[in-house]
Amino acid sequence: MHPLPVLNKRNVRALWFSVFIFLLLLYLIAICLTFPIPYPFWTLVILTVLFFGVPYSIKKFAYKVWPKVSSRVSKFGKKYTLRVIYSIVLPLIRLAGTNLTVQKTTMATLWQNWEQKNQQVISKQSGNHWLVHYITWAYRSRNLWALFLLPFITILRNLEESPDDQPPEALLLYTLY
Amino acid sequence: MAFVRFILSLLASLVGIVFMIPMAALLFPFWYISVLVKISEKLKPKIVVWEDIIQFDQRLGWRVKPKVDAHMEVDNVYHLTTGEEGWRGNFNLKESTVVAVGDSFVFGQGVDDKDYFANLTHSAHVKPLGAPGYGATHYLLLLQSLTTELKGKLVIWFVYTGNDFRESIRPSSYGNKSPYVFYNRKRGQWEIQTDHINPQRLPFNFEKSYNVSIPELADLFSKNHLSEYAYAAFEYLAKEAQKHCDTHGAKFVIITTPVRWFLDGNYTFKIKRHASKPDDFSVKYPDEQAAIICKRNGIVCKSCFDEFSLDDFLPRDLHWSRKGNQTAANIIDALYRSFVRGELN
Repeated sequence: MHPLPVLNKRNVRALWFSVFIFLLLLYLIAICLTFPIPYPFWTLVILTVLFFGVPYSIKKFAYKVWPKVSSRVSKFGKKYTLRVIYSIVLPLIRLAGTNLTVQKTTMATLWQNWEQKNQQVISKQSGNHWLVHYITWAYRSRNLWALFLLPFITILRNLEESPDDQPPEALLLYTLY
Repeated sequence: MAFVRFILSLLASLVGIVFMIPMAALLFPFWYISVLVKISEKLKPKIVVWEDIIQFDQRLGWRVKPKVDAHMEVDNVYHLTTGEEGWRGNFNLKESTVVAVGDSFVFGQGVDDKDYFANLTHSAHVKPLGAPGYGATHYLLLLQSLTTELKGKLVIWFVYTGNDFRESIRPSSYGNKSPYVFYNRKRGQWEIQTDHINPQRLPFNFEKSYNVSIPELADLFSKNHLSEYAYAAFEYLAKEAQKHCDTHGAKFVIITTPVRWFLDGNYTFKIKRHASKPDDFSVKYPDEQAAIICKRNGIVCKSCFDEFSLDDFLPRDLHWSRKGNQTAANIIDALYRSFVRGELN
């Protein structure tokens, strides 16, 4: 999850507005799913007024709390996803057995010199366009089944915390200049 | 077998996705905000850091590069441009009627060009000469680099009471070597030292250390050995500046500007407790010392402690906001009008 930017009025309002848009979309989806409208339209107007009438101090508090909640939910989500993968997805796939043949080698060691540049053994990946690399690998290595792991890998990737999570204000302890 | 694995994987994936639905619902709001933040950051202009826009200067230690057009971030992202000589402001030195010399405040740290004090004045045409980290020694050296250009102009030193007195006697600032003034006992006089200046940065940074910076800052607000030395050094610099301005037909004025922390009564004690003599601590001590020095040497001096309020500062930084820049512009305009009327004495 990407961290929120520095706490200031503009960013607090932006978060509050974004949450409002999110809730509005949910409301519209709910209306579409449960036509005729369960509540009259004026309830939406009242809720909107209440939502934007919230004092700034509460909005600011929500802004401060959001990253903490987000971080905990991310960690929980990561654990949950891994549990689903290890307990449901992989045991089912395992039923098909393995196509990996492990043979004892006649060589003294399996280490290979870097100079050999064996692309199949060693590959340097920048991390960019990982999805393209992954799909290409699955297709070329005839492991198309691995494509079904993509939804879970994508979720795990999105749950990774940003390495620069330290808020910029930590650097502003003493900037008299 | 490959086909069986494919079908099993499809099945496993579908079952897994069903189990993931409640988690996805929980994660979605956070993911949605995260994506919005990412998009907004991509839309932001490229932010440069301080080191990107300065260059080495043999006398000053560093100065802002000429023709900079960049975005920086302090409290918010701001846009700044510099002219041929590396200073901000709409007017060049020749066109200007007022020369403002100072540090990051005069540089306009934290505000866009349109909100910059030098561009907000009505009667005065201001040429600001300043860069973050500069102290009073820099101000004198900058002033001494100008001669005939000063004729008939009002020269204002914006002395920031937060650190300008201290930085004038320090050989480095934020890791950069800087000119400093010291008392040469052998010769019995104050001198400016620039021999140590080279492009090599120091591997440490005193200013970033709260334990070093804050006690030093606090001790400048009461009478003690450090403050007496710093104010004596400042007197030498002010006298030299006055002499230089007199020689070249300019009027010299000193303005002292406050530290945001001391306008907030609740914050003062946090600094005061670091002073070697907390009972002697006075938030107006630097202004009073500057006034005494100016009176003794016939220099026009103005304390702006009461002119600024908390609103004049950025919410999360110690520099002036747009409102603070407007206040500074108003002060300059008022001084300039007095100067034109010949009332500045």
